[in-house]
Amino acid sequence: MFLLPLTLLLCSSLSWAIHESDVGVIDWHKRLVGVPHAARIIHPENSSLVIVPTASNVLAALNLADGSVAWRYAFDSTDGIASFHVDGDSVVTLSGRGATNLRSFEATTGLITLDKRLEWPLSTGPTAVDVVFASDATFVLNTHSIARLGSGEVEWTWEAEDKSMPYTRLVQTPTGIYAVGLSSTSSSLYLAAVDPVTGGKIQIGWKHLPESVSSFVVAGECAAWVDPASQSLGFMRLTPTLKASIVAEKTMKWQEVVDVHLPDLLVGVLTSGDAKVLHAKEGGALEAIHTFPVNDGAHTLFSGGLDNTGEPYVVRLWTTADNTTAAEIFSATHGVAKVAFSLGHGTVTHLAVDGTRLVLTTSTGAVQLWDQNQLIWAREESLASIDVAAFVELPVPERVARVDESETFFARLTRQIGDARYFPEFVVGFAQRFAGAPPREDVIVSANNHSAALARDAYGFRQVLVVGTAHGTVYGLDSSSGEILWARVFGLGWASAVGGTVRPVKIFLVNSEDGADGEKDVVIIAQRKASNTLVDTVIFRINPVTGASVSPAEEDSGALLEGKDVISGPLTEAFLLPDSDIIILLDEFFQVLPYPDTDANTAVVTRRAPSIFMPFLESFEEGPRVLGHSLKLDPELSDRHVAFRTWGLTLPPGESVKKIVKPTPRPPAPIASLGKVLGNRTTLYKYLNPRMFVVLSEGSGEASIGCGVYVVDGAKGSILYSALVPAAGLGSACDVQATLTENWLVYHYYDGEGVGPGETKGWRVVTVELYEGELDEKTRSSELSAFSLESMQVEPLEQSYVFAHGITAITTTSTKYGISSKDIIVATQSNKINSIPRRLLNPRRPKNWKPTTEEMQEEQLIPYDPVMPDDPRRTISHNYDVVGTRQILTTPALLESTSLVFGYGLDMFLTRVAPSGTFDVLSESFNKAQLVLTVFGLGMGIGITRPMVRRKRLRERWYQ
Amino acid sequence: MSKNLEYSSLESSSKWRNLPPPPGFAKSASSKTTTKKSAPPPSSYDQLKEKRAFDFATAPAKSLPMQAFMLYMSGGGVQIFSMGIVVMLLLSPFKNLAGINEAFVPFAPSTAKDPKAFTTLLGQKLLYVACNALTLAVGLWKCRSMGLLPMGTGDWLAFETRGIAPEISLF
Repeated sequence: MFLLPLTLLLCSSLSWAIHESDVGVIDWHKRLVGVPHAARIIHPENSSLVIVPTASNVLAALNLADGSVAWRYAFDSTDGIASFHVDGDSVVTLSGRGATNLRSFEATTGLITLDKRLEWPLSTGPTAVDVVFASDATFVLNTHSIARLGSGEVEWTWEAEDKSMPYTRLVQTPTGIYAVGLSSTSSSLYLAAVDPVTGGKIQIGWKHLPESVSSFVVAGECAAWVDPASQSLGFMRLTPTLKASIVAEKTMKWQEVVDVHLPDLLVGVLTSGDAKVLHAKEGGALEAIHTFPVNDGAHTLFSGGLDNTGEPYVVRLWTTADNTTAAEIFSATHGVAKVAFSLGHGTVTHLAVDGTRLVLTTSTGAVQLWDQNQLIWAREESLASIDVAAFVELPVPERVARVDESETFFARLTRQIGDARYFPEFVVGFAQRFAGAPPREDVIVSANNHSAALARDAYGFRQVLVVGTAHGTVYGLDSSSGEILWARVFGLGWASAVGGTVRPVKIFLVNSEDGADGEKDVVIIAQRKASNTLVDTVIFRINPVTGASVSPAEEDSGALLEGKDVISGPLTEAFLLPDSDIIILLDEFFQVLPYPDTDANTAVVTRRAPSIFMPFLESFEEGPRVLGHSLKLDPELSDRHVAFRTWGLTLPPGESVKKIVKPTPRPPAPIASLGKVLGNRTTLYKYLNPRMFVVLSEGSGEASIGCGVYVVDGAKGSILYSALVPAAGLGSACDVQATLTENWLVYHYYDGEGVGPGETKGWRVVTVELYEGELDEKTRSSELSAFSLESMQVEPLEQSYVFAHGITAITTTSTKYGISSKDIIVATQSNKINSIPRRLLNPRRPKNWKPTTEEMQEEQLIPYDPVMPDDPRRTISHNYDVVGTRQILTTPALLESTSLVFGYGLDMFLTRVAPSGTFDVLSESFNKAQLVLTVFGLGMGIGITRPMVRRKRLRERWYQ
Repeated sequence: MSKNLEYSSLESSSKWRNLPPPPGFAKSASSKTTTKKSAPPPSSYDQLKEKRAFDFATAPAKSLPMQAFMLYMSGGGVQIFSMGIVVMLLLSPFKNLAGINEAFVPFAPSTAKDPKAFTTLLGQKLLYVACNALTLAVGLWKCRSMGLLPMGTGDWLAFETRGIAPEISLF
């Protein structure tokens, strides 16, 4: 029992909560919402908000004035947004499988006013939903049913008797509620009129349409469509009896009708290129109130919106031949406004209009507000879908000049005299530092300081974060502030003629070709999918500081980033050959292509080929498998090395590979200690096989057998450690997160099986350390061949704990020399980034044995506790709401104590952590003045007493 | 004032030199006679010296309980006091052994040809070495208990090196 206070003492000393004064200085957080699917502008209570449902499954409201996020709601990944509807001051979403979950949000605050699961009868086939708002109720259509919601309750549900015709639109007119659907098989317009109060059926009917009609639009009381065959516009009025006849307008040649989400306006496009704004008048007539003249460009978009006075606007936007974006904005009272601006890159995918202001979403994932020809704000939402990310250290500033070794004496003299002009500055800086007033920005890089030039700081906290996104963009971010230093868009190469997408696959850092002083280039390997289904592998080589392409060299960094096509076909895998700048690319035939493709590099690959093993996932019909490959050169088959399979990981029947977890950090950091020293000075030698990686598997089929965790040797595929953990629930997917560094594996899972007494359901975190054997037993595993017998001698030590949170990402910290202890960084489902200290995850925490005092002291053991306490001080993300973190990346700073942590997913969050404390930096509270005064005082004391002592000793000699 | 007063030269060159000693004070003759009368025989004197030499040889061992107590009181931590005592315990045996021959000169028997030779009083000297070794052992034991002695493999771990594995696995 006396151990308890000790434990508390130890725990308190090892956890360092983030200081409030550090918030926003050492960390930054960018709230993102994802790339919008659609946008609608509303004006609740004199404010203007853009409501966007996004590709990241988030519903968000952006302030129209400055583009900031007013509120956002991240839907669960199993609860995809099916549709969203806005009405004045509320937003309604339907989400989930079958769009059964209805949520109503208050538009200004984002508070949920209604969260209801609607019970619909099961329907086969696609689901179509629509919502209309009445003054006292909300009507929801779901394929074959209509429900009326009043004050949060379902008042009635109407169900169609004939389940063969899906309704897609719901229309409310003063006379009733209408469900409208178009059947493509029987080419008929299905209609149902329902009493809005009682839910009783008034009439059901159908109208025969020409076969070529594929879509229709509803505006006001009219349903309208275009028959492409006869190029005529057909429309009919919706009346309770459904007896109104179809009117066909054949005087003009119509191409299509477009819904602009306005109550009684729609747009009809003519084959001539003109577009007419049609007003659905009462009585079921359509009247053209404006004509957009034919324009010179392609890619035309229409949109409509109400401004804050309720005035409807209709806009037509197109890209002109000289690649500017032009728009015509029409309103009945204000007439037509024409705007034109240059978008930079990409095309507009959709837009919303508010007066003369346009909110655009581009194909590169940017959300922009243009007022007339002015860009008011822009959000780079493609950063919410980062595929690859890497930290790059900044180059050493010019002033810290590297000396050319072949420098002559005279040259050196000239250089040093030249450098002397910095001397006064240096003296001032030195005096300032000495006086105890350090120029803070210089030493401690602040997130608030954006003005400093891009150069390495003293501690290496400032680095460039290069991220490639799924939307074909690549950004350089300042790691000290999160500001975008540069943004580039991947070019399509030859595919620009046909269109396509570029998606980054891997990112590597290589030494730049001309710079001998540690400057790095970023190499991004991307897959380009052209619209004609051809897939190519392209390499982009970028200068991380400027974002300019290095190879091929470019002059204008404002243009699209052009890469180099290396493989005309898909890429199988790409690896960086350790201790070199050679990237090995495997094409679909497993041929090895070194990059850069020079004879010298081919020779290096040839020389190192016998020792290279490559384990990676290959997909087969029965599912993915982990296969090991080695390289051989067969001149008869190919003039390049070819990877051939050497082993395959055989899992128990019913289990399939889910994921491979590579050891962190990449590239491997130096290993500071080869073993763990125990209290009695004996050693447990770490099993440091550099080829280890983790395979996570999941049981398939109904009777799920659980989730497997395997540590596998990459050269011969032998399993060094394995564990079978239960799946989250019967039939549910495995959600195991794991990280491996050195000899340390940590994995996290949900245990839903604890049903017996003394067992709990909940998350578990398991820490495993692999050793070479018993005490003082060593096999020198890090230099062993994979094929030696001793390499199979592994002794695992493991312990498991109950953990308080579900996690979405896990990794370890990494420091420059690996001397600082490694903490585990996890992103929890409660939107926090936490760090778990190494000491809490020590598998030697005494459980059934009593440690000696020596062991307690030397190993700093904490008695085992099955529950890992949920200590809020271990949250490193302050009170930020870091939503949807998918991946955490850590990188060393120049200081050994400090590691940079970058979490990305939906949001981006960066901070620095010091797992062993900042032992290599004086604390800010260190009293320099006192030190200086003490030294000064001592010096004075010596100065005063020295002559006194001398005189005294002289006198002693005289009178001895 | 600034003149040295040299009294030592006075005695030999003094004119009072040849004066007879005061009554009752025999300068050399009387002392000779008294020595002859009171001095014990040289053999018993040597025995006494030998005994004293034994006492001297075992002195380090006698002080051990006191030192052990001091060690116990100074605690197991690495602090200035415990370190001081440990350093003293570790250094004094070597200091003693370095001066072993000089230390035993006063106890050398009168028959010894060279009182400074190691072979004189060999037994006592060996005992002295043993006792000092005991002190050293106590010091070393204390070092060990303080964890200052590199006794286990853990102390040599930092010096171990490993080569590069013959196979590499690319990830």
